[in-house]
Amino acid sequence: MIEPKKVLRILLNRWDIIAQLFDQIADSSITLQELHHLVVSLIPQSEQSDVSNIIDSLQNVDILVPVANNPNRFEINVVIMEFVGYLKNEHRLGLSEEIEAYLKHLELLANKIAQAVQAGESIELVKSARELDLRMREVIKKLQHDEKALEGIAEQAKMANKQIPLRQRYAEVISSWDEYLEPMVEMIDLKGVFDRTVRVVENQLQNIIHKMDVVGVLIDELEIVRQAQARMMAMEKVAQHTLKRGTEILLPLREEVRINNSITQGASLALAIIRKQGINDLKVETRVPLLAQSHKNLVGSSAGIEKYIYGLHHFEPTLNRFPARHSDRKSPDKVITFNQVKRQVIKSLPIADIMTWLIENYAMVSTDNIIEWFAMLTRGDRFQKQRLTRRDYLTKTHRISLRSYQIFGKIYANSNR
Amino acid sequence: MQIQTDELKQAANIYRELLRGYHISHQDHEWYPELSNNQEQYQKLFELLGYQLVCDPRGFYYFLPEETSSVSLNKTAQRFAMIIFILIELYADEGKDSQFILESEYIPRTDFAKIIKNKYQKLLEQVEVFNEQDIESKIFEKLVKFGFASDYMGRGYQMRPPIHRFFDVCLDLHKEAQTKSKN
Repeated sequence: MIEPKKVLRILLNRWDIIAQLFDQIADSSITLQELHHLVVSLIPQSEQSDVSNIIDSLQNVDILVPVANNPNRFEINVVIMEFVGYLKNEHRLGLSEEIEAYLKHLELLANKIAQAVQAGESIELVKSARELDLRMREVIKKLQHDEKALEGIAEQAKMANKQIPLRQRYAEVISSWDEYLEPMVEMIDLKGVFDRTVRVVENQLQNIIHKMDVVGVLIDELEIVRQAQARMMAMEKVAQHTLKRGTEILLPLREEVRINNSITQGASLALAIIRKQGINDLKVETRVPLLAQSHKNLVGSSAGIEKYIYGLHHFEPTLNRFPARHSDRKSPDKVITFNQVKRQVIKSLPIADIMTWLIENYAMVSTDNIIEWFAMLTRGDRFQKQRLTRRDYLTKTHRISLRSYQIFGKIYANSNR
Repeated sequence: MQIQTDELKQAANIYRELLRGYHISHQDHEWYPELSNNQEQYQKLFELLGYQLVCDPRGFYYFLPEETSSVSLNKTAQRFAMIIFILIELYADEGKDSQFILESEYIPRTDFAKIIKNKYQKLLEQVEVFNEQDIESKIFEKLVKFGFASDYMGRGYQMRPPIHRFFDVCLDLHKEAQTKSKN
């Protein structure tokens, strides 16, 4: 029998070595010689005898135990490994089957409690109720431990060398999903084993409490059964939390692998199609349409031509009634001649800005005409004028940028022009 | 919805870039923040001008052309798709995470030789790409022009988020193949 304090003392004094061993050989074993090198590397100034003493002490308290069938190799005691893992917050994902085994046991213990109440056996009742509570605490611990383990797996996967394929990097994520989380989802899901067991045990405990409370059987032990009932509810809550958290952690990574695989396979499929049938068969232009400015509104582009021909084909003339002779309709606007404009300009002199004046007074006239009149009015020395700074002018249809003129008066000597 | 033009200071530049088929992504510091901060306004504004602004949640913007207007860009789209498919397969065959390389690393110019000397030569000939120079001038320089890639310190090219448009083609093809095999 190993003295517990001795184990704790070695764990405390040799924590660096034990933690290092945990990191290096948690999944394997080590020879005495390798162990020797490891200790020397961690305590470089140590004497040969110190190293031997350290190794002996680890073996004496069963922190290191020989591997079965190979006394020359050593591994960490499983109990110590679990404890060190807990202290280092490094958890290994358990098996979903373990939870299932626990659940079967919970049902059995609930039956035992019912039988003890029936028989009025106080000792048996207390023993079974305590064991039921303990088992549920173990389930809770295991679920919380597994949640930490899932977090660790996801973290490791994200930190792995990104040069290697995602499928390899996320191998543990995928196996954790397939072998742990998916069975757990099935188990904890409505109508799953977990849910069914929880309901059965919960009902049983409720009946037992009712019987103890109302009938007064073993009333002194009521509290311990109530505690088990409360623990049951806590266990259910933790299970749902673990499942939710586990899914939150692993699902995005699993999805990433799925998309990554689909992209790689899709690219190979695309290349296979191109090899066999040619690139035109892939219809890339409809899958990834690209826009080019020059092609949007020009009739010269094939799209434009198509549109134009479509427009022609579907052209429907609109009927406009010809105005009657004595119609009240206004006659169409008269054609305005340059001479009329010139006369108006002379009447309106002086004009601060001829372009603005033209736009304001001939708002319904086309921009072309306005520009033409502007050019004719300002050309030569028909008027006394001064050039203005460049600015934008807005006609009904266009924005024009030009340097207009201020017109002061008419030069009569050149009025024949 | 009223368009607050005061906030759209880069509207003219953004419009000009999108109009030439450029994909604006977060590396475009001048335009991307303004676009993403005023996404709805820009969508409305461009809609009035007759353009559909696609706001891809993966972090990029582009104008979706009308159904038939991209016909003349057939060859460009084919070249882009071809090089992306090849790179995905090439890196995967080398045991690398091709998607990670295309999203986060850069494609060194030295890989152009690998592409042309590899089994892909015949495929590239279909899109009139015959040598390393063609890979650079006919494909990568164009990818830069459309905002799918950017120069990586003169050593090669780094892909940008719009590359996901080609990843989507792969996903679609994979899905189509799965549906076919199920039927």
